[in-house]
Amino acid sequence: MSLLELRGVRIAYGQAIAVQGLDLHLDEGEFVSLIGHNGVGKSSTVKAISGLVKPTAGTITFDGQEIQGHDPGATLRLGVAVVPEGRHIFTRLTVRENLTVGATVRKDRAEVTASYEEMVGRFPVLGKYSERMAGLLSGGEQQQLAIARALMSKPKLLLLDEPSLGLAPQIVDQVFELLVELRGQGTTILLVEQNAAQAIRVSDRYYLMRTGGVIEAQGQGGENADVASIGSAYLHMGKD
Amino acid sequence: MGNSVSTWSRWAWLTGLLVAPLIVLTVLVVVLNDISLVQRGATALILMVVVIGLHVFSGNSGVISFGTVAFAMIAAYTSALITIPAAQKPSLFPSMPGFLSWILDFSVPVPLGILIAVAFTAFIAFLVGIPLVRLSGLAAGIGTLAFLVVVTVIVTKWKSVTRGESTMVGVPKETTIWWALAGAILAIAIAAMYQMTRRGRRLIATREDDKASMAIGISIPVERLWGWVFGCSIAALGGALYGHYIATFSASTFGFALTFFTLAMLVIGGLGSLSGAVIGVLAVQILSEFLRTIETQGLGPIPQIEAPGLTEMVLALIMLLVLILRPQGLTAGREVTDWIHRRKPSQAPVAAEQSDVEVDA
Amino acid sequence: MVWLQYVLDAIGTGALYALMTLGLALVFSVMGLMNFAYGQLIMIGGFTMIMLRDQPWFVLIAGTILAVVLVSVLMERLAFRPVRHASAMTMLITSFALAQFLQQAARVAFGANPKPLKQFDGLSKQYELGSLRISTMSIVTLVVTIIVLVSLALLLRRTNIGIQLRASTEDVEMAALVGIKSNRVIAAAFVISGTIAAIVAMLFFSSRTNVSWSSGESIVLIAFVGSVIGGLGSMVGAALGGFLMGFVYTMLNALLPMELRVFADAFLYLLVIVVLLIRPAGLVAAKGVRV
Repeated sequence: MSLLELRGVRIAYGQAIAVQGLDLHLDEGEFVSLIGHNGVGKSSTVKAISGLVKPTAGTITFDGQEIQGHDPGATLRLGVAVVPEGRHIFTRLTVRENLTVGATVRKDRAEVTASYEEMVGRFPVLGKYSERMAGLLSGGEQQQLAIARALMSKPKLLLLDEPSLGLAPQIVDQVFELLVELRGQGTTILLVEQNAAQAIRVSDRYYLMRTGGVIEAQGQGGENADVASIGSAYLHMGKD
Repeated sequence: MGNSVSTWSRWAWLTGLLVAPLIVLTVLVVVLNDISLVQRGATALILMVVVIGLHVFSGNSGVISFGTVAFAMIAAYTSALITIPAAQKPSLFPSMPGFLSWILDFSVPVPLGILIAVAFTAFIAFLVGIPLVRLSGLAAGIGTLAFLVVVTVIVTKWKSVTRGESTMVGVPKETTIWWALAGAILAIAIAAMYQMTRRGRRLIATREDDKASMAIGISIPVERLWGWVFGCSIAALGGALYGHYIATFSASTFGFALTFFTLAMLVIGGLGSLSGAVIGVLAVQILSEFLRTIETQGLGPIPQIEAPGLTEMVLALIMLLVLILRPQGLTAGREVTDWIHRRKPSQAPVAAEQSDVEVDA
Repeated sequence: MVWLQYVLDAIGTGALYALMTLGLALVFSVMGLMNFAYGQLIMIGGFTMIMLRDQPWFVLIAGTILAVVLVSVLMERLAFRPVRHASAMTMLITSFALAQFLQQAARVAFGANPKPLKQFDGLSKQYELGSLRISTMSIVTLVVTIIVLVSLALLLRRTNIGIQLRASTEDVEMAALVGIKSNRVIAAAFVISGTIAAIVAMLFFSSRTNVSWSSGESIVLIAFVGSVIGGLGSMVGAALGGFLMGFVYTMLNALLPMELRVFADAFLYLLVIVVLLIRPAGLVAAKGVRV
């Protein structure tokens, strides 16, 4: 059984239909990418999974439970952590506070400190700036913080929305390396990205989405993926 | 061509449907010849003028104004100043400042006085509106509230011109229920015309979606200024009529209490709808009559509950309940004509006549 | 030297208004609601002080705080929660209606006449400092304000709920995404806000002779305005704005020429309009704050 399954999901904002009828799934331990141009419906999909938006039709099943329409806290408690587009770190909180707040839903308060140490170990730069206001960190550092914050809740699924946005190419490489590492450690990842080529290379599978949330193509990812043919399909898609 | 015919006919329908019951009620009240009933009827009609003024701006723009009533105050005082017989003025205004002393030398008939007062107040509304319409939401609420306070302070402290906190007396008491009715009819006609023609619909467009309206070339401050001036002028008319009705008043007559009352009527009737403004006034008037009777004599099985503030308290409670349970009010933002013509709430005119707006832009 | 006397008097008033504004701004930053009924919380504090006047001082203080906090929490639960996601205009009018309701209910319940307060003689003493006078009241107000500010800062920085509050005031959506419960955070804000209102009431009415149903209406206006000027969404800004309003108000009253002095209020509010026009950015720039 899939860890995450979307069936016939339809998302509309008033009269505007963002996603017409989406089917996709994710198995435990997989690294799946959802790629497509700006505005095709990727972010709406992320919002629907995380609970910020309620689909007008269809079901979203996570770990056997239907989660569509749940509020974000409930979804997080079930194990879906989100690194939203734009990172949204709390600039007026310190790095440490950002991380602590990421563990809000955890019942095992005593273990939270251990998790904090673990994050600091994994992301040394966060330890270095632990008492600094998060707003003062660089783009790449903020991205690490956002991911670490999401990991603090010990999620079963990590959902990332456009993590490469606004970052310099070397930093983007670092972020993707980090994701590969996490995947290697067993984290299930759903990555939503405009940066198609890199995303496909690090994923197990990918979905290519076009306007209206329609899946244009899907296939195997990895280093040997036929990026070229996907690439031309991607380029020709544009925003129709 | 087809458009203008239908606009006029829609205007006629709306105005007619709202005005007809008012005429009937007024005639009824006069025929019954009960003085207190006539009094209450006249007050209701005058209040309606003020509430319509509030609707014309706030209802159409979606921007709250706590300061509209200030213009009723200004108009009442202005009309009083120019209509009080010249002979009485020196004793009423012993220290009128030099640059205004020409006021003491003349007086005009009340109808002219009201006209001049409204025109003058409209001008002030225009000046004040230029900065104020740039504010939205909370800022508008606070800004217009601050304006009300400023006007109240000036009126209560500028003793030499306004008699300060003492009541204004000697004001010719000429408003009759017929004048009040005429004022209400005029207000309804103007308000209906405004919201059905292009000008008003542009303002309504900014309420529905400010970004979209900017994208098609509507200037939000400009449209709001139109609505502001129209609305505050209508409120001014109400104020002037009221001044000549009660003949003695002070700043507190037009202060917070009136602001609250008129807002309650608008909310209960339904924000964004002219019919709502009219219905809201009638509903609240009937309700407060009911409550005041309980306060003064008891009603049927209910004993007299002498408690000043009871009426206001119950009214506030009802307003709260409406806001919490049915924020669209009695009319849900629709006009009486929508029920007849089976049309969706005020969005429809904007969408349907989009082409008009584009051509204009 | 007279200058300095005015300044001293103004500082006391400023501190009180800073506190009041803080209470208001807290609720605003967390849910975008400007609570017109805040003045009535202060009024209720005053009436509670009357009812408890014969009790020992710690009962008086605890009782007042309890009563006001209770009303504050009820306010949120019954009147504001249902309109939490409504338009800015609806929320504003709702709080306006609530303020009216509480005010008129107090009028019905306690009667139209002001009720006398017990006087605390110790507080009206004045100290001489050279040619300057400082009243005990001013000192107490200043000290209490500082204590409250420090306590609030500690609460916001060191406690879990404080961190959640700060996160929510900055980015309400992200706070939801990390599982912060908005109901809890908002309730906490109303509790803190109510506590501050109770303290303000005690400070305010200690130097007054009576409480009436209309108490609190005019001072809260100054707090609104102060928070708008100071920049909503920022605690420090609010406190500063409130302080400034109280300070400027007192100074205007002292320094304006005789004939214009009665118009001090008008000047103040005109100033407010001017500031609103030049820097409405104070309202919009703060992250996560709805206008």
